[in-house]
Amino acid sequence: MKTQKYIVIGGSAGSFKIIIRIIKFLPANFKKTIFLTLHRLKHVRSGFVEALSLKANIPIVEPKDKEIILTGRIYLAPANYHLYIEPTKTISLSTEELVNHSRPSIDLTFQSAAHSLKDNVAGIILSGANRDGAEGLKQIKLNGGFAIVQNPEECQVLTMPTAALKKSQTKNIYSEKQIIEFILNCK
Amino acid sequence: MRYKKTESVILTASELMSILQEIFILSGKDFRAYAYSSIKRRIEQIILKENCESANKFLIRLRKESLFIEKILPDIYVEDTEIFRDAETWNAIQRTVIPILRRKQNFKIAVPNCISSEELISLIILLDKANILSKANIHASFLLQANIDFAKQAKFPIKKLNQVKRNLELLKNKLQINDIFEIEDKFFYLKKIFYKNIEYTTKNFFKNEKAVGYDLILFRNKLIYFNNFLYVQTVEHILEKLNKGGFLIIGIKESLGINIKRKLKIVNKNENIYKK
Repeated sequence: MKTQKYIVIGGSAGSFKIIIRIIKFLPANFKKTIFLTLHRLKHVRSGFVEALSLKANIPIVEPKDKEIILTGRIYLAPANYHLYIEPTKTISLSTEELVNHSRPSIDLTFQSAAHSLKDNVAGIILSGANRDGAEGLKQIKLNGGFAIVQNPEECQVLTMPTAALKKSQTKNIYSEKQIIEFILNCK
Repeated sequence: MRYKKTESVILTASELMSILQEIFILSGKDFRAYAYSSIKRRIEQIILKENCESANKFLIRLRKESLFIEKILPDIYVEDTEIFRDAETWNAIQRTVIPILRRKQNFKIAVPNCISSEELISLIILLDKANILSKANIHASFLLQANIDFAKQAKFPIKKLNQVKRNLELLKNKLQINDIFEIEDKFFYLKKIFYKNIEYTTKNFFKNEKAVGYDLILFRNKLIYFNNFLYVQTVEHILEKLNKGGFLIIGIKESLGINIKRKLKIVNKNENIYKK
């Protein structure tokens, strides 16, 4: 099986704890790039990166527009901006309309990752309260990437993983432990 | 823009470029140097909305239906998101920019590439509350005539009012919603007393040689839609149009290249306020 260089993770209500645990397990020499698109309060600009960074061994950054993507980093979609991954391996941001009532929208990040990174990306949908990310995960699978959904039985809110499973038809239903192992084994 | 829930449309890079080229030929509006993923998605959404089955069928409609281009253009542009978006930026403008403008007998402001006018409205409210709107000469350039027609009424659906209230609460000078807006059942709009000293135009700000000598250029969240080439070109134009000591304000997640930053002084790093 191909190992992906890029991992996109989408989460909403109930996903914070697993994200903290994922971050905690990443070693300082982690050689992949992670993009985190999480539904968050749009007025709260500061504090989130700092809270996540407390547990991290690698840099977590809220990128600026046109930033070049580096390995060994976690890029967190900024509040009130959509995050796209460009074919030029740069990040672009946008203030376009809400998608699935969300900005940042998981679908937009995942769809751009699917088309820009093809089979070099794995998409992971975590706990959440709406259907955002389902179409994006389907696009990742269709473009040769690896699609994972957190086991809905483990999720605090299962609307998002259930919708993602239905839309993408992925068989990769992973527990929290398996998700962490998958990310760590993407060396 | 409300999209129909049909299957996705995925354009190839060459299909997208053919469409953007056709739009340029038909309208003179040039999106060919726009940021790839965003403009691609916007065109794909329009194709879905118009129920075109393929890029080719969309191109045929563009060429054959004379009014089709006018219909789709507004959906290509991205509207401002909200009045007083990023309250911290507006608080910083009040602290750092307004006191400098206040010292002048009169001053020129440019708000280029306006679409839905929330940025323009936020600015004129601040200037009015600082009692300096009467000294301002505001050049607001719009991308479409329809945008000007909207801006002159600035009538927003009532569902957006809560958002404005929340943003006003975050401003340091505690503006009251009833002092600023007239509120009806389904809409709210800016009171007429705020419409002073604004010049509305559809002339391309960056190609308008007479548009020079500005004390402030407000250009937030516009550069993010340009590719690197257009972005550099646009920032250079902006610098030429700013007076020495004039302010440039861009979006909090936008950045200026090192070569450009050398020509500007940082006034507020977090809020991206610069001074020439």
